[in-house]
Amino acid sequence: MKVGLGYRRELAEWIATKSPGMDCLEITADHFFNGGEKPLSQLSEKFDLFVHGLSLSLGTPGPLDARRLEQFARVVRMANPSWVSEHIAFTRTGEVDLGHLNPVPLTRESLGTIADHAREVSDRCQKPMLLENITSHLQLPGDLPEPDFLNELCERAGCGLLLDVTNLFINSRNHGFDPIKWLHALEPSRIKQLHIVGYSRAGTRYTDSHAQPIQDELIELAKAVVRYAPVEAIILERDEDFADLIAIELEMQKLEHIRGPH
Amino acid sequence: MAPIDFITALGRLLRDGLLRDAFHADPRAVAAQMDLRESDRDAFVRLNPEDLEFQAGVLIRKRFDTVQKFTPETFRRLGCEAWPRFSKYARSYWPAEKDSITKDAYEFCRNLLHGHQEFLCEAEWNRFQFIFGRRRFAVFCVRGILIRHKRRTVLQVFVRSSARWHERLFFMAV
Repeated sequence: MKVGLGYRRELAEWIATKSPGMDCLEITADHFFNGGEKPLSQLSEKFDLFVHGLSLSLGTPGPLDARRLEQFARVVRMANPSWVSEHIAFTRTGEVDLGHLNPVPLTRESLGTIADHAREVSDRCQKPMLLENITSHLQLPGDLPEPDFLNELCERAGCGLLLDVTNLFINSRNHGFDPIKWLHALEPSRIKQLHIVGYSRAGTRYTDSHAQPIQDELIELAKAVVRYAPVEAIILERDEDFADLIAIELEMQKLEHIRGPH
Repeated sequence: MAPIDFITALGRLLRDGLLRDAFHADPRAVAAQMDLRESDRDAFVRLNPEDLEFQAGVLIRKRFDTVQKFTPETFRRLGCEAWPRFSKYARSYWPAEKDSITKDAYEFCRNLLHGHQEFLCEAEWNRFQFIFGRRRFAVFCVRGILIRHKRRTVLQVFVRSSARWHERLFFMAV
């Protein structure tokens, strides 16, 4: 299993100098929509890359946004990643760009929409596609339990799963279910990549601010996933508080701990 | 007009605080007013208003974090007032897709002009006025801009050429 980090510009210098021990990087496609040829080609020489999308809005009914898909495909061409990934979510409707991830109802209609869009992205980029579970504060009524929805979605779209361990943990706490039972209802062979970062608390709710050190419960859950499924990569997904680089190094060591002995 | 689907209806609720208030009071009336597809109505009216408000708050927080980067001095002046003022503004305004980030920052500053002008950074406001105006050239004299650890009086110059615009600050360094 490879261990890596979500690439952020604030960490570019540190990554360039401290990279030994880091096997891979995840590039956020949206951060390179307007340029980025040189850094991407340099990074692709040194690391295995994965390209991760934020705004393709696979869950929006109707066609994908052609301009964003082209921008995404352009980043994929530049980075030549092992695979690409996007969220099981919608970020826009025909009327408004909501700017962030929102849950889709777990219905057969949504499943069809996301599967078709995921296939389109994968075909366009000529890369394998992974789909990621999100944090949701909304519980939407649907036709299927979430693990069944994910299994069927991956089957129908010909995709793997990017399992966000933190999102699974947060949802399990906010909505009161057992994350291990949930995990064991998934088809293990689909789980290819993990995301992890510490959770935050807002009153009684758990949230994913992408700014906290990884808590012990998350390490344990990630280990359970690694024991259950043939995970190929785990990525630390930190979006804030980059100033303390020693803390980020410690976080990377926690990922090594999840990986266990080679 | 064809009835709208569940995702479109949920998007409307998430962007519009007043609509969420109406939904909280009478979800069936909102579903009917939106002309939501019959097959989606049951799921729609079962949405939990408290969860909806929290999810909408997550979206507003993302906007807040982004707008803050465009107006750092205004947000510094607002201090702990920044989040309550921004979330109140954002509940009833959602920017259109084009130029959404700068437009959001501009509209928030415009909102502050009504009664809370003391928080507004003049240089940041000048910038937005230029971006969303039609002038090709503008000069402002601004006091109290923090440059190289000192508050200075500067000439803030904007120039527009085709689709691009440029900003330069000139000041006397003694």
